[in-house]
Amino acid sequence: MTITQEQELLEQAAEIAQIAEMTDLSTEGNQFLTFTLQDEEFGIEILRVQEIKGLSRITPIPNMPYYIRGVMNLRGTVVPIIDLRAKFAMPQVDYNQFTVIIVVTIGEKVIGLVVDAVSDVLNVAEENIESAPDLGGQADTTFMTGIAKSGERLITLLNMEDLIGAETISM
Amino acid sequence: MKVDMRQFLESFFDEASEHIENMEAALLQLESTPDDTELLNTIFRAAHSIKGASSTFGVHGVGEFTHVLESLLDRMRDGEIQVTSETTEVLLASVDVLSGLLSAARDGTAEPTNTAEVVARLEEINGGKSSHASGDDDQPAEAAAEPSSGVYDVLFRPSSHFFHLGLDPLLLLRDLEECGTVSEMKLDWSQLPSIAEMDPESSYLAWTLTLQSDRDESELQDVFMFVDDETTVEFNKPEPPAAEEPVADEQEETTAIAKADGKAPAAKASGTLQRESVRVNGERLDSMINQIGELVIGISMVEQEWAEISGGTDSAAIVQLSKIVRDLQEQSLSLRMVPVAATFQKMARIVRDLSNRLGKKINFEVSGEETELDKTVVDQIGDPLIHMIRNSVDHGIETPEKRVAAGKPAEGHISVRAYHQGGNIFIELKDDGKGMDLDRIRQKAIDRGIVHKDDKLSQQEICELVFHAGLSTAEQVTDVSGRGVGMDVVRRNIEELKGSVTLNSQPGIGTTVTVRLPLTLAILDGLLISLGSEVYVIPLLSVVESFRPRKNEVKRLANNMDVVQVRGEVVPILHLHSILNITEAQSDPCQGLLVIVEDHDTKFALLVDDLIGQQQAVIKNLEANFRKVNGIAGATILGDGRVALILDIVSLKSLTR
Repeated sequence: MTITQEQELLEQAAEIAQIAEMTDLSTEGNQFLTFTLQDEEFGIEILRVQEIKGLSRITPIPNMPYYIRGVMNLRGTVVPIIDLRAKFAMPQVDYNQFTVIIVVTIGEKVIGLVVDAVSDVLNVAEENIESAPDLGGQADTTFMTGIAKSGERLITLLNMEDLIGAETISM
Repeated sequence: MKVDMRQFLESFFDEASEHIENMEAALLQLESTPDDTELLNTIFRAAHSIKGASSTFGVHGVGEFTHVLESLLDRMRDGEIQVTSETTEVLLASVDVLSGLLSAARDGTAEPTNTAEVVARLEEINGGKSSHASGDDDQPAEAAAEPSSGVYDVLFRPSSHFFHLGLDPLLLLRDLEECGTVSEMKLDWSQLPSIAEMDPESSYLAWTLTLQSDRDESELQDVFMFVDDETTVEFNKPEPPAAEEPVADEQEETTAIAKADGKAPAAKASGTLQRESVRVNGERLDSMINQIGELVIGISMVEQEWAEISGGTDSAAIVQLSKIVRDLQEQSLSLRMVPVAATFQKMARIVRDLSNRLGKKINFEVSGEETELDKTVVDQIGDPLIHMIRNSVDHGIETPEKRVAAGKPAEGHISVRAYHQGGNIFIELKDDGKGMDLDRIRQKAIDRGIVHKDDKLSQQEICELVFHAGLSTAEQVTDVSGRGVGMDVVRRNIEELKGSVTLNSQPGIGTTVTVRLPLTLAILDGLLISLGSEVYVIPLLSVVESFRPRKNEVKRLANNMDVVQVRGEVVPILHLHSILNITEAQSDPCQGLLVIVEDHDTKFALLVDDLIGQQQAVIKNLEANFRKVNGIAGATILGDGRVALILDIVSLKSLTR
């Protein structure tokens, strides 16, 4: 990653932080950081997000499922990196300048998620969140907490515990 | 303001358990040197401190119990009651009860069931006289034995933030009252400011009182042991002491000095050391050590970047800085080091109790107890060591009759020794017992199908068989052994600490168990190797040698296993790239390098692309944020900031199977 890319990312992150500040923080916690994978939009609770980081060197861990890309040095902490495209069995693309790692906390653990790009911070009122549709075994929806509606957009809200949970990291 | 009493209670419990440890150590010593009054004094002081503090903190069960204990100790100190094996026995039992009572108060565990019994025994020895009061009209000797009895003028001025510490002057005054008779007490309120200036949470009062007590000053001082430094506590004796006293004092001093030349100083020195220590929360310490670890990584990144920018010229500043950082790291790691003495003491206690129970005579010798080890290691090595010492006493040492019959002295000998050697700590456990019955072990191993009856095994190899699960050598399961924990568990525990254990036994002569442990678990000397585009770290401890084999030295066996011949020895080759799933790594041993590693006594060769060099690695465990990975012992961060995985030699081997 070049320095300009890093800078771009930092600006991007600063922008998001700004948006976060502008948004009314007093509303009851329904704030989500949204990001894209392929053409779909996903959201995770903002309180889980520790930081957004540019891609840096990932050390592969042998004999791991495909979506566990390896580990990365996050200021001295060794953090596992999970590729969400791979986790959702979406077609792989080469990592590019927009590819970012969202660092989230799950319990005591810190984990990095590779996503295509982060989009914004969303404030969703309770009534605009619908529970995850039950597709009767057609699709696995256990890792969804619901679907948020924001204007035209539909955002899949992810439940980190279920998505990354015990099978990936021992909790 | 609400004060959280828990932290004071915590420190009370910590200190109390330290006192208990001291008591136990002194009691064990007292058994061999019953005339040592200094030891009795130590025990008494410890009991007294626990008693004083426990009433301050309202842990009453402990206070009542120590009171009974203290009365007995006091009379022993005065020479009214002799130190016998019976008294020592009861006192040791009291120490156990005390520690049980304390942990009951601390963690809410069940109180020891034998408290009443021990109290009864204490009182019995004390001749039914459980309290001080009845002692007065006893003998003239008693009065003479109280040269310190006297009148004290006591000044007690709590510091202004006394209440903030959760302390109550009244409780302390009441405690003082219990130590004797208070004939006069005056409240000094001269420091009290006007109402407007007064901070209701501060303390402005002071007390002066006249106390008549038969205890000496240091005991009275103990009442105030938990107050802060700014609190004034003064004891003054208004009358000059009796004329004969200085002589007695001098005598005592000379004996003390004489002793100091002999054996006593070790115990004393460690006592002072403890007092100078600072209690720190383990987590805080760990996080500081971690951060210094980061600093080390940071400085090597700076070094590398500087080398790139400057094209190889040295920067004096960076060299200086890097030296400081490395020193700092070494020092920070030493903060985690604690001596093994406490563990050894536990062993001494077990040898004593067990040998009494089994009717054996054992002389237990300890050396190197000041040797320091990482706290985590010390905590975890205790159980395995205790298991092994039980084995020695139970199965190793014979009964006196059997020993005499075998032409050995009736008294058995067990020694424990800790020492440094080559970046490791060794703990050696040696007994002169009957050794292990090698034929029986071999036969058992054959019966269980662990070895084949035609296998030729060296004496050493047969000894090592006891580390196999399900090979207990106890002829009969006593209540001492046969707890379902075998030497296999011992070995596993030690291996979890990145250590190893070896055992050697000679029939009729004795058994020696040697445990090797790393100095610390936080850092390891590593050999950096490259494999494809990745860098891996092999713990240097397991590395024997590395070389590039010639074609004729490498053979492929029928089951697709490659082996290499090293000076006549056939060593299997592990293709790391296929085990670790790395493409584009060298698969021809003659093009790459072989690193021979050793795990216990089995050797194997790891095929790697190249050696990069040797480096100290700060170990980061993967479980912190992830989970355990087979074949990987942990991770470390290289100078360029990327993560390298540390290979786990033991589990690597199992990955190939």
